[in-house]
Amino acid sequence: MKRDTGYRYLDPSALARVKNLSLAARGVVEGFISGMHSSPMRGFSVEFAEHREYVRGDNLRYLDWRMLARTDRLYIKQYEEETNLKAQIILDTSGSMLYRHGPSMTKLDYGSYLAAILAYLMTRQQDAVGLTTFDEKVRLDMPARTSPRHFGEMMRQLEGTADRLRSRSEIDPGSGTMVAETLHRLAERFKRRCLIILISDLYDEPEAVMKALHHFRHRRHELIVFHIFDAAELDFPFRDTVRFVDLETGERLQVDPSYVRDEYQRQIQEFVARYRKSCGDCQIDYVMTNTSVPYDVMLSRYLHKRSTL
Amino acid sequence: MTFATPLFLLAALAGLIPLVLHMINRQQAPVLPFSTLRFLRISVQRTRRRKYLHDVLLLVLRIAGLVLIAIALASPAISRIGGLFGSSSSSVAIVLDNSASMSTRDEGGVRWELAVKAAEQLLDELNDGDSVALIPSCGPARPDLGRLYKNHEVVRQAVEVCRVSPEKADLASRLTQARQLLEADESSNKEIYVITDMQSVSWDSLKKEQSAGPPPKKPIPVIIADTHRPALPNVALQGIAVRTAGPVAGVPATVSVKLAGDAAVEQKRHIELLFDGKPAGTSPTLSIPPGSTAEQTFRVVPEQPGVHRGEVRLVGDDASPIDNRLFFALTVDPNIPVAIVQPRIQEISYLEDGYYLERALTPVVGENWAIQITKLTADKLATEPLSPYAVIFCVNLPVPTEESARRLRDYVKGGGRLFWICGTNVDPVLYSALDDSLQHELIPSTIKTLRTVSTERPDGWHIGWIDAQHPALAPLSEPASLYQSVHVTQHVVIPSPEGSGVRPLLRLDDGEPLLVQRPIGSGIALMLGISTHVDWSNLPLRPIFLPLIARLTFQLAGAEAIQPQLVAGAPLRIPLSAASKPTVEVVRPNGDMVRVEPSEIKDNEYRYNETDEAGVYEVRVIDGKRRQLRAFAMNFDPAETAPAVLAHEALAERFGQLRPVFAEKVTDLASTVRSLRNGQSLVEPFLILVLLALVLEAYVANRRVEPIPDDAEPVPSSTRAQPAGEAARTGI
Repeated sequence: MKRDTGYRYLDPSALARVKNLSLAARGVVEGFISGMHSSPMRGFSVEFAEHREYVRGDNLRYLDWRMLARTDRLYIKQYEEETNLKAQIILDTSGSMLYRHGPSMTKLDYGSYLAAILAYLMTRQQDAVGLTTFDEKVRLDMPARTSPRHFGEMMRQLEGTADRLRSRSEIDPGSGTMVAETLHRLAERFKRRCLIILISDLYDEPEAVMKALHHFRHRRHELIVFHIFDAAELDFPFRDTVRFVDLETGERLQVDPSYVRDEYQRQIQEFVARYRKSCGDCQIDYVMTNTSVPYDVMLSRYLHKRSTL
Repeated sequence: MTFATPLFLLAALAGLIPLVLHMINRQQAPVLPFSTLRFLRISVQRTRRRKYLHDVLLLVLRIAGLVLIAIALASPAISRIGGLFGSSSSSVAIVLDNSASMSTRDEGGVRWELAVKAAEQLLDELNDGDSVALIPSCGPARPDLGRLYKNHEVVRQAVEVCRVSPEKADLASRLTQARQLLEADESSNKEIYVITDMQSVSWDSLKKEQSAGPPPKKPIPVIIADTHRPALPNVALQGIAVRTAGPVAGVPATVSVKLAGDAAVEQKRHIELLFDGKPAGTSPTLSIPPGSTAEQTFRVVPEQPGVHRGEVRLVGDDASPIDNRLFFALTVDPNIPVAIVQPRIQEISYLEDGYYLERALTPVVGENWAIQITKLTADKLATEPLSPYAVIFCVNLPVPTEESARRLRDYVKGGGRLFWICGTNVDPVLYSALDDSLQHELIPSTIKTLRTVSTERPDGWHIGWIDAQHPALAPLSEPASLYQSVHVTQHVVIPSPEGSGVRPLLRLDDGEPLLVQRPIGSGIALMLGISTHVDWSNLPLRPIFLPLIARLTFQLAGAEAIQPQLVAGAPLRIPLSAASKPTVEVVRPNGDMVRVEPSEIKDNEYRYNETDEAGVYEVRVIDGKRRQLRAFAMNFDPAETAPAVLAHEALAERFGQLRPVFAEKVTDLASTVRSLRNGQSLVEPFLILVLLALVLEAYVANRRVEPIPDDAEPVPSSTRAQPAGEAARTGI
């Protein structure tokens, strides 16, 4: 896979499934690319940023005739201020995201795959994309750029983060999560309206998290929340008495799964339902998924659905 | 509840296994990382109480299952007589009803045969080390009976030689005997088996026996095996009466036999009489209606003096052979020895006070007359042996000396018949004083005064009443002129107050008793208030005098009380004086002779108790110069022919709180004993409980655990298709 794309989290087969899809902003975004997003801006910056291949529908005004003459290929000159959409992927890297049951991937891996393919899509459609990781605090903050180098840097950061976290023992407590607080901080940081893509298990108080998301909405950001679970977190398939260790706090709790399963599932469903309802009320796209569902399938379905709305 | 293999109860300790496993599992729970415990914590908190109850229920079910398995392996059983560990040694008393009714043949067979088989089965079921005693309800006391033996063979032989007795059973007293026997034993298990045909009369004294002693410390279970079955038709010889004018040779006797039928239809039977072993008569066909009786009379004449044995038999078989034979005995003397004691013997016999009396007692001159008279003077009373005389007439005697009076008293108390006849020599005052000094055991009543004709009754009195109920006087009661022609001018007043035991036999026309009798000891004393000469009345000259004196003498000599019916088992009571050191021999019906030691004679009486055999018992007493013969007929107890059978429930009520257990089948007492000892097996119910516990355990254990498909492995690759319903779970 790496041989194909050069990045661990960019799977060619997944790319094949989503390559014909695009992530379009629903509302007005502060950028402009013809045919993709409506922009409140007129004109463009003279600060050249990079070339990109011509896409059908691009304004011929920005065609680099020189390059055409030299290479006989159609390139569009891009400038910094011409970015159509700014998207910021916020990935939760707290201890709970390291959970996996059985041979499945961790939620962090799942989220990383998802972030990578989203970044790829955004970059491919000339949108600027940035990456923020956090647990108790923001660990990585890469502002949105459209350049492939920036994309490559994001991929390396994702891999580095994953390697760093994976090196810990399975039951060593990882970092805690302060989703709400972190999101509030980030909401304050992003001045320009953009697309916020939150990938997290959202293990924080739903009310607080939703307040933070409201904060983003208040700042006119568009939000997509990918709520990631492991299938075991939903099904709770344990049979014998188990002593569970909290991956974030290290707390231990002996549980007879047969007794608590129903109640646990009820709690989880209630937890999900609250997010689903609150997000729906705030016009936030809420996508609940679990690691047993292929992320490309999940994403293509979501993008297809989003494109129809 | 008992356990056949109690060691398996130790397996109940396996009930601790679930607890131990729980503790081990609790400590060895695997550690698993989990994303967050926030929901689990809440879930655990909310399900804690339910889990606790669930765990406790599971624990109880699992422990119960293991304990129940252990109990089932120990072969539990419900036993009404066994201890907790039923296999320990036991002491068993077998009360075997061998009364007359046990010889009855019922539809199921002869009761006795059933009883013997039941007893043998019971002995077969005993374990080594068990003690057993046999207590027959009837029969003579034997040293091998009524004792506990560990050697069961001894008891088995005792059962084999045991026979049906003609006696009546008293099972209540035997039960008490069995209880006392077992209470003295130290075995942990004690049982009393009563094998009986449930005759009601056998249990008559149960309540009395139960209330007599203190309640037992530990109740001993009583198991009753009922041999009674629906009875076949039966005719019983219910009673026999022998009467004769005098117990002397040549005097005919009548033998009356009563038959009773115990059948639903009329029975037609014959009876036959054997006298001295020879056929002496056969009855015509006798019809015995259902529930009614018939009577047949035979006449026999004992030609020779001595003991004569008679037997009446029912011809043919019926249900109960033991009530088909009745025995009687007739002791016949060559004559009746009678003594006439007078103040003196006169040369001219007419002048003697007993002249007319002697004439009345010897109406026929010759050796063959039934009464043999010996004339004695008053002074001979102090020396002459009195016991050989059947009747002693004391005629107009002055008050006897103290020694004579004492000997006369002993004579009458020992069974003699003493007939006092008044006269001019009889001083009522002196007689009464002497009688007082001898505790009123000399004359029938305290005599007071002499009454003579007076101006009120210048013609004297006539005999106005005769006791027609008296067997000797009854024939003389008609016509009345027979006794009313007797004229009395002088007589001794003999009071006969009510309740004193004095029975008037003749009364004057003013109601004053003239002849009275009173039992004293084993004998009878009579007193005639007039003389037997012609100076006080014309009685000696009247036609009534001779039959009156003769009949009374015969009757007093034993004609009336000839061989009263005795029931088997009742003791023979023979009045004897130990002072005379008599030699006594008892010949049993089977010919065995028992010689009695003088030391066995107590209180002027000898009791022979071994009368368990029906037939004639002959008693020979050699006392002084005279050899006495007495014979007694022992027959089955008529109560044993009573068809009244006690229902099980009725008998159980009589037992009160210590209710007996009734064996289901007397023909299969072995299985009943096993069932009672080992009890009813509870293995199956316990196994059912085990299964129930396991099913419940499985249900409870799995109720909260829902099946989870094993193939639910997540596929991270994009090549996997999204499972059905995944869209709903992802919300996309």
